[in-house]
Amino acid sequence: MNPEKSPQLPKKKNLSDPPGFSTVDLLTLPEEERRIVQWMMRQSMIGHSEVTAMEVAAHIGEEEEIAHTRLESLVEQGLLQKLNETEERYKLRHGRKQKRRPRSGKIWQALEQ
Amino acid sequence: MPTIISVHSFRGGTGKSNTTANLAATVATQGNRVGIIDTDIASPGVHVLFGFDEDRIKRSLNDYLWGRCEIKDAAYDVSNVLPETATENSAIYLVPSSIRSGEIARVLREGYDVSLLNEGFGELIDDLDLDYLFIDTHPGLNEETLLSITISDILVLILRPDAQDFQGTAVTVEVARKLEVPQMFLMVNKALSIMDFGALKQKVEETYNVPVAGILPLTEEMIQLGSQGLFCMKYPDHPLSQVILNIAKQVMIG
Repeated sequence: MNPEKSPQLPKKKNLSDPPGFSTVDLLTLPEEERRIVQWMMRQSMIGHSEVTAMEVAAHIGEEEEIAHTRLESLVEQGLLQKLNETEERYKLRHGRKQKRRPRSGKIWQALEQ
Repeated sequence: MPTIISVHSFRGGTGKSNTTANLAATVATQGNRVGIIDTDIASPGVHVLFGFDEDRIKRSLNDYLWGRCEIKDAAYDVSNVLPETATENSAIYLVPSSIRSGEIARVLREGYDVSLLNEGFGELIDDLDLDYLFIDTHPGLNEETLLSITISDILVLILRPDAQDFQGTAVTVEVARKLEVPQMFLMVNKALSIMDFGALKQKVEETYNVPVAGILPLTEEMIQLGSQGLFCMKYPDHPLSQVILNIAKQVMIG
């Protein structure tokens, strides 16, 4: 399923990273954009995390220009990142799962010991 | 492409982990390679059904999420639970979540990169050559649950014959419809024997417009077993095991 899988262990994101995409966003996105994001999530699961406007157009059955407009809208919303290569590629910009804010750090320290 | 099945309930205590384990083992018995991943990081439990405790879990989903290992290294071959009647191809693997309080606290405190979970599902399917991946989710709606629902081919929603469960299930069905899950089943658990199962099935199906894959009776033997083993493997001829087998067949048809 994923012949080019990297042997490296997954890297954690820095806590100061900007929010990025959360699965909760799926509930508020317009249908057309949600379908693109969902498809990209599935693609990412099979090791195909970067997609082109042409690939998206083929998936949604629309013109490449329309797919491009929707992808750019998702980039503007901070949910995708555009990779600057010869051919424009887009990738989900995942955020970190929201951490909880405890009233007292001492509780967490005690639990982690 | 292998089939991904999320087993979910809006509220806790519905028998979600028990159902996931029994359903997965039943599907494996039919000659399939099956994985179970416990994404209920805050309150893991499915490992207990396979006889795991804190000492036996050397690697867990938490280790993968923290970059300490690959996901396949957190998968345990638990095919020993399958009966002799299982075929040569039958296999079942479990990726448990950590039961150590410090590990649970760390995830709650610091969060984790959710994309790793998404990629991990794919890697696990790939590495173990799975036919089916069962995702045991955290009750209610949270980020992991939404992720699981989003990438699933089949969503099995469990509810008890209880007004609170009925309301919560309505919310989950609405979300699953919005996310266009390809196939959704309801499963009623812990139904009292005095109930009219046919009427209950009809009422639930009419309420949600979702097929009911099965109604599981509340049984003394299940309570006696107390999660110390897989009911369907221990009592394969019990009516409850037959209901699970029927649900497994529906899942395998997809």
